[in-house]
Amino acid sequence: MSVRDETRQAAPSRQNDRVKPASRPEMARTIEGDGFRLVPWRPDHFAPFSALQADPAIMAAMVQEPQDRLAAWREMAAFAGHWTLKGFGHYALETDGFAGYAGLWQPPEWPQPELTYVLLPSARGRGIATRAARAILGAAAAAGISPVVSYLDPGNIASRRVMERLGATYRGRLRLWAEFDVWRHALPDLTMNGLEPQQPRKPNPTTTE
Amino acid sequence: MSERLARLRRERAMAAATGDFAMPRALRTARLTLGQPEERHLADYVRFWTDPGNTRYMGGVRDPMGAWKVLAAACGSWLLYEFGHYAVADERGVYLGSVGLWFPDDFPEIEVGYSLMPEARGRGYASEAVAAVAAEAVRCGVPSLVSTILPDNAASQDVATRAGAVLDRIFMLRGAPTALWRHPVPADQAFALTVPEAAS
Repeated sequence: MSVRDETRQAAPSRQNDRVKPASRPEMARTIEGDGFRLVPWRPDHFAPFSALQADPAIMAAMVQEPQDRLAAWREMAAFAGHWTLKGFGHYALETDGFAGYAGLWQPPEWPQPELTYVLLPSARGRGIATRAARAILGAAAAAGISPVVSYLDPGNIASRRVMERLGATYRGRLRLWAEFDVWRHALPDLTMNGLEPQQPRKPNPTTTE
Repeated sequence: MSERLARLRRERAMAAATGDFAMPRALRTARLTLGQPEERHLADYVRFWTDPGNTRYMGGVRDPMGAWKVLAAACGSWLLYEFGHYAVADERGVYLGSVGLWFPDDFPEIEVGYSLMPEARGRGYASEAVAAVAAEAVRCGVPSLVSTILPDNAASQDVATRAGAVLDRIFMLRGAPTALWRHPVPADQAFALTVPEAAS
């Protein structure tokens, strides 16, 4: 029997206990950016999201295989549910409509939250990735989430330029399912350029009633 | 079974999932509390989903990362659809398993699904939780309600039968012949009578 099991027998976990650990962050659920919005996932994001996840070029940039619709559905549901588990996660990124996603991702055993952004080709070349990343780093800082890293395919030159523009520092290589460059993000200055999240301490609507 | 009826049922399920249909975030039964899945359930999810016996009828084992994604998706369903699987616990708060509504991209209709931890089986907990979820789903206006069960999963069929479900048809799901059990939903029966069968 594990220590955890013994602990649970002594003090059963309570199903309806709504108290969250004091350390748990709550990142803003919506961020209004310059030319884009970062918003919670909705069912109508699924059609364009599943197309994105099926695109071999987009997935190759993340060193992943294209996903079929069911895998994409599970992924999108997990993206949404990440917010319930961690208090932060990926946002759907909208311009005129769905244009990709961006946010923080931290499955178990990842030492730090990872800043990720994936843009549809039609949304690239306008600085949206950099601005979205800055806005997310600002929201992360406001929620007390630090440090934040990014894992990059060493061959992804465009993303490396974004890292440099963001002021991230190269920290070396990490072996996940492939070799990745680790970039650690600088803590942003929350007073600059109006990059504060709109609602930095908005309560988590999924766990308060 | 007309293709047209199946398509209409799927459309109505999607309209409900993305529209006004919503389930309460917690339910109680005589012996059970049904609450939201949360990060503290991860160890139980990993224990369940990494075990070949538990997952034999559920697509097979996941690695711990896969188990975490199942938990994350269970949480995400509540945000996307306002329904999902509950974390079921006994009166002492001990986790027993996962029961609730589930509607992934390839399901024909909204499902009431159930999976109990091995130590929680054989005491009628699944039936008790399913009865509560199904009754609440009907009360909240679910257009139809099914359970997808592999034909050799006798224990699961017993739960469906005790819940009043009847075998509707066998269909192909994820490459395997799968039994679609239909739970009684008055509105669905009324709806079925109005379908113009000749149109397909």
